[in-house]
Amino acid sequence: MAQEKKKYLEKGHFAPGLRTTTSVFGHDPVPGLGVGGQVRLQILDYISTDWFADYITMDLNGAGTRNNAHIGWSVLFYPKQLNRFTPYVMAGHCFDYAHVTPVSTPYNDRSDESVSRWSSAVQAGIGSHYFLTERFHLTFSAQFMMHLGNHLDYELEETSTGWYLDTDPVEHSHDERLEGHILLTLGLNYRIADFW
Amino acid sequence: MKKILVFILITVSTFSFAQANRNWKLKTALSFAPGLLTEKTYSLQLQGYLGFIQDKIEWRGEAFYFLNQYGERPRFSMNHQIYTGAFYHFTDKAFQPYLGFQPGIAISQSSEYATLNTETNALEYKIAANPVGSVATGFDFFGEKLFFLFVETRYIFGKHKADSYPVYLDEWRFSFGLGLYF
Repeated sequence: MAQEKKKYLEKGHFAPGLRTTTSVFGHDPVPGLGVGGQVRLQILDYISTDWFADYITMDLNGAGTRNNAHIGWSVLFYPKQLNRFTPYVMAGHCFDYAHVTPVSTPYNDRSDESVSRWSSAVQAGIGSHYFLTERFHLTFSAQFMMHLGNHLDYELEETSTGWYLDTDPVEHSHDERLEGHILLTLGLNYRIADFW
Repeated sequence: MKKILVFILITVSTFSFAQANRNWKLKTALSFAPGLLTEKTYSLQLQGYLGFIQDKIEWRGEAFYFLNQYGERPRFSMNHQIYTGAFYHFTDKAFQPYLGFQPGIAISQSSEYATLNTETNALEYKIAANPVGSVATGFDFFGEKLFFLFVETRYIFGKHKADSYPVYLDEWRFSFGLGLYF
């Protein structure tokens, strides 16, 4: 008699978890490191939702710091469940807060040159779950996040004395390009309930 | 005091009797955790955690309280850290090696790079909260009742970023000691 295939993902599953995120290929040529959490609620056997919040910080080559906070949601579509391994495609929306602070020193106080903004963003990408046990799984995903509305107007410039963060550039680039970046996320989730 | 002791005894014995009928454990431990940084610098932290183990998976919430740094380049006057994450236990016997990952937050203050507050004319060392990550491995050795021994090492990565120059939070940290499980 053929053994029945175990189903790791089913509608009604509720799995909270944690995530760590790296932000790359964004406005600045530096990676960021983030921490956050997510709750996963599966609507149908092939469709799930992620509700997440992230806090990401970036060292702007020693010239300043950029802090980003995201809060949003994504829809996950599972084309096929391969036992413990389940790939998916995803798309969603989030709200984003960004704050950029230039470096100050004992001789140069630049604290009044910080800039910040709220915006919203859309994101889409691919990922995969890997189930270590029936309830616990790891998730790796890569998604492109595109910010809507004005982006932060600052420039990171390489000078003869090192990098300089200019938060009031002469050339404003509001409409020149859309701001976007790639988020690589590692998540840990644990199913605690099966609602339906 | 007497009432508290009686309460603790009742709670511990209730958990111990109930343990035979369930497939999960709660574990808690407190330990000193020395760490190695670059440039011949060492740190000392107080580590405390609470873990929940079921089906070889342990969820653990953990806190490190910064005590001090020593050596050629002590670079922080504060570096408290909190983590939450998961560990995979390779067996469910008394001796349990494990491997895990924990994202976290470091609440840190540089002791090297200050900024000038132009209103007060004072030098300030800003405290900042920054994401960190930690990959940890070790083993637990569970006694028949209540106590377990643990040995653990972890690599921590991240960067202190405030309003002055950034400083790496990277550290190789060790801990061992006795804990309680219920």
